[in-house]
Formats: sequence, C-alpha cells, structure tokens
Amino acid sequence: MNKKHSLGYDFIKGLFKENPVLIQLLGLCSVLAVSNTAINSISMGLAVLFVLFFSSFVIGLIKNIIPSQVRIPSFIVVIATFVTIADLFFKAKFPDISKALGPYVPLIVVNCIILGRQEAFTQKNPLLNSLFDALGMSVGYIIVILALGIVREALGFGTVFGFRIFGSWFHPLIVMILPPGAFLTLGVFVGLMNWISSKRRA
Amino acid sequence: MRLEFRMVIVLTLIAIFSGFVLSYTYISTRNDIEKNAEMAKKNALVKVLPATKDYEEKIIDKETTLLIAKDENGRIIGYAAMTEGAGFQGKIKLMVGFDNTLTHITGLEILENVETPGLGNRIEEDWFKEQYQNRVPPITYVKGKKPEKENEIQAITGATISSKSVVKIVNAAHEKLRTFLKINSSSQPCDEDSSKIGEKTDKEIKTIIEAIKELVPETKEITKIDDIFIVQDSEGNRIGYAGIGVGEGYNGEIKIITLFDISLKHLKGIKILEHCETPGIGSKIEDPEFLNQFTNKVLPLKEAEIDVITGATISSKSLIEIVNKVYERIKKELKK
Repeated sequence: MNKKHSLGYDFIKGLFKENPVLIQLLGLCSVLAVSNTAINSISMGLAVLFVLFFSSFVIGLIKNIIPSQVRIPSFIVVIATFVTIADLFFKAKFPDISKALGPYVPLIVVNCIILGRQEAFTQKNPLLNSLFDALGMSVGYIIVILALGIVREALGFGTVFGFRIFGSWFHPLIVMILPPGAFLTLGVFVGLMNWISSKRRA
Repeated sequence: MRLEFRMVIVLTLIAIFSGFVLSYTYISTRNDIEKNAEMAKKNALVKVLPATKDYEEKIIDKETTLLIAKDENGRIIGYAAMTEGAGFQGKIKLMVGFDNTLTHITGLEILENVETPGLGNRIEEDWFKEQYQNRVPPITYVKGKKPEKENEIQAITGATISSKSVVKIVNAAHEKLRTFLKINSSSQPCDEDSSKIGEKTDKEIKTIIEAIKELVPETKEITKIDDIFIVQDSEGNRIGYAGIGVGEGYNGEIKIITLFDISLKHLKGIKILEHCETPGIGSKIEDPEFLNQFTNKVLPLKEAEIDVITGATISSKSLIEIVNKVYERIKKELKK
C-alpha cells in the first residue's frame, strides 16, 4: 500500500500536481471533443464527477472481494452502471443537456480517468481517501475542460455560456471550435502548466 | 475457494447487481423520458404549425410519421412529418411542417441529432431552422452567400454535410407526404362530411334554417320541396327561395346556401356552410365584407360584379360559379 496522505492532500493533488488532464494527459478524448462551448464542458464535467465519485465509492467498498485477475472487467461493469444511470438521468430530467452532449455521456465508460483512478488509487487506498481523490480528480477535470470551453467558445463563437462578450467587430475564429482548436488550446494549457511547475521547482 | 470459482462468482454477482440497479433506474426514468419525447413532439408541432390545437397521427413507414394538424374547429391547417435520416455522425430526427396544400414549409424543428457539438449540431440554431419558413420544397442549399430563390437556404459554415443532410431529409419527407396524401386523397383533403344534397342530418338542417333567417330576418316558415327551401313570412306569403350549392374550391368542396328573391331576379345573399380553403387565404371567403357583396346582385351573377379576394381568386370565383349553378337548378325546378 502507498504511504498514506491526508484527505486534503488527496483532494488538492488532483487540481494541480496530478491534474488528470494537464499532467497525466488522461481522458483527452472527451476533453477535446466536447470543450467547444462552456455549457457542454460543465455538463460533461458534472457527469464525470458523478461517475467517478460513485464508482470509487462502490469499488472502494467491494475491492477486497474482487480477485485481481478480474478486477478490470469488474471495474468496467461498475463504471458502466453509473454511466448509464447518469445518461438516463440526464435524458429524464435534463433532456436539453442530454441532447447537447449526445454520445459523450455514454462514452464516459471508456474515459481512462475513471478506470485509471480505480487502478491507481481506489484499489490501494482506504475508502475515504479514494472519495477525496475522486473529488479532486473530477474538480481538476472540470477546471480544465471548463477553461478550454470558455476559451474556445469565446474565440470560436464570440460568446461565453451563450452570452455575447465581444462587439460586432469580432470575427469568430471557426478553427477554435473545430478539432484543431481543441488541440491548439490544450497544447497551450499543457505548456503553461509545465512552465509553471518548472518555475516552481527551480 | 478455488480462484476460478471466485472469479466467476464475483463477476456474476457484480453483473446481477448492476442489472438490478439499471432495471430500477430504467423503470423509474422511463415515464419521464417518454413524457419528454411526447412533449418534444407536441412542442415541435406547435412550433412548425403555430395554430395547431389538436393533431392526428398516421404512420407512413418505419422512419416517417405524418401528423395532421387541426385548429380548434377541427379543420386541417397543415401537415407535419416526423422523420429521420442520416447526418454526418448519425441519425438526425426532425419535424417539418407544411401548409395544407403541401406547397410551402411552415417550419422546421430538429428533434434529435448526434452531430458534432458546436458544429454539426448548429442545425438546431434558430437562424438555420427559420430559413426554411415559407420556402417551397424541394429545397436546395447555397454556401457562403445569402439565399436568393424561394427554394434556397444557406448551409452552416463548417457543417455543410449536416446542413445538406437536413435539406435531404426535408425533401424526402415532402415527397413521402405528397405520395401518401395523394393515395388517400379521397378521404383526406376535406372533412369526412361529403354527405350528398338531400340526405342532410337534423343538425345541418338547423344550421341551414338559421342561415336563412339571418339573411332574411322576416322569415317565419321554411318549407322544403325536393332541393328547394321555400321561405315564407308570417302571413304565409312566399318571400324567397333558398338552395344548397356545392362546388370545387381551391382545396376541396365548398358548400354554401344561397337565397333568391321570389322573382328569381335578385340574389338576397349567400352563406358559407362548409369549406376547407387555406386558412388566412382562401378562408377569407368567410369574411362578411366579402359575402355582403353578393347581396341584391342581379342573377345570373357576373364575375365582374364581385371583387375577388387578393390571393384567393380561385376560392372567390368558385363561389360565383356555385351561386349560378344553384340559380339554374332552382329556375328549372320551379318551371316544373
């Protein structure tokens, strides 16, 4: 078992030091795909938070009875269960958000942040630490995807959360809402993050 | 316990448990999801055909459902197709409304799509959907410039294929409705009551009597001989003759009652009993201002004597024709 950290540390590390997107570069598929508007980003982020938190909770509870040979399929079944619940919930209560996210909610099943945390953390740590880790990772994910969403929507549409922020002089940069815009913005973010951490180390 | 057994048992238990949880979630969300779909359908129908109060559903094929939109009087105001087709990434499900002659699009709503968020799914944006209003199908699309013709719409930059798909689905829906409605045209265009003259229900006779009394207030008694209504005043004197006339309007049958004076020289007035002309256009034949023109005109009516309604020439002229037809018939019968 890893050396134990405080609950606070397990939460905070997901935001910066071990940020799932900028440092671990996990779950990039959905980050790149749905981060073209801020509202899509936040909805996706909340869905990931729900799935990661409850998957960590359930897997944290049952991890001791799962033989390590079948842990991956077991984790996937648990994760898929919560993803389906989230998907049905969105469809029933927030049909508009469900419509906007399209296939990306079901695709959380294969988001490697979720499975990665189960493998790397929940499996080896106490339940409570796992929950804080899950929250930290989710919030770290939300921060990055939301920042990406805001930057891309602002530059690509001239709006943020649907509100116009630039005057009529602004000519939207369509490339920002296209896939290249996602890579460019994410690249800049990752670069900034590396620059900041190298400064800190120095 | 042997490892193999443990693996099987643990996985099975997890799967069974997951199955139960999901069944429960599915059952408890199913009603809401169905309600959302139903609501989305109704909302979409009201958006594409705003005057809709009631609707009737007919399934055309696996992908397409016809919705017959009716106003509060049960008159058909238009048709909508709920249909789907291939988009850029998957199915696009949409509803498109047409006027009741299927010549113009009244509106478009996107119900479901899995197009790229922010690009292809901009087909849901109002400016894109509103372009379809009053366009004449089949539609074509233009890129990068303003549409000019009455069948053109502008494609979305960065989402040409999605835009093109919508155009294709709309055109296919129009074609399907046209063939479907034509096949069933005998029962479709007007209401079912194509009852022949002479076999009228009590209710109809009542409306006829009321109409006659409105045209000639001194009416006391009405006697019906064959197809002619003989109108008498309180002293038993004949004051006029009335007859029912049916003719082809623009959309279907128009049924009117015409009232002539006793000498059969002048028209006392007419009243519309039934019609299914286009709401807001042909339906203007119901306007009292238009109908009052017929009062005291010399028979047979000449087209020049009546100002036709702009945009509803066929409906207007049809009325004149019907009046003259009834006039000829009554004249002939009275001679006997």
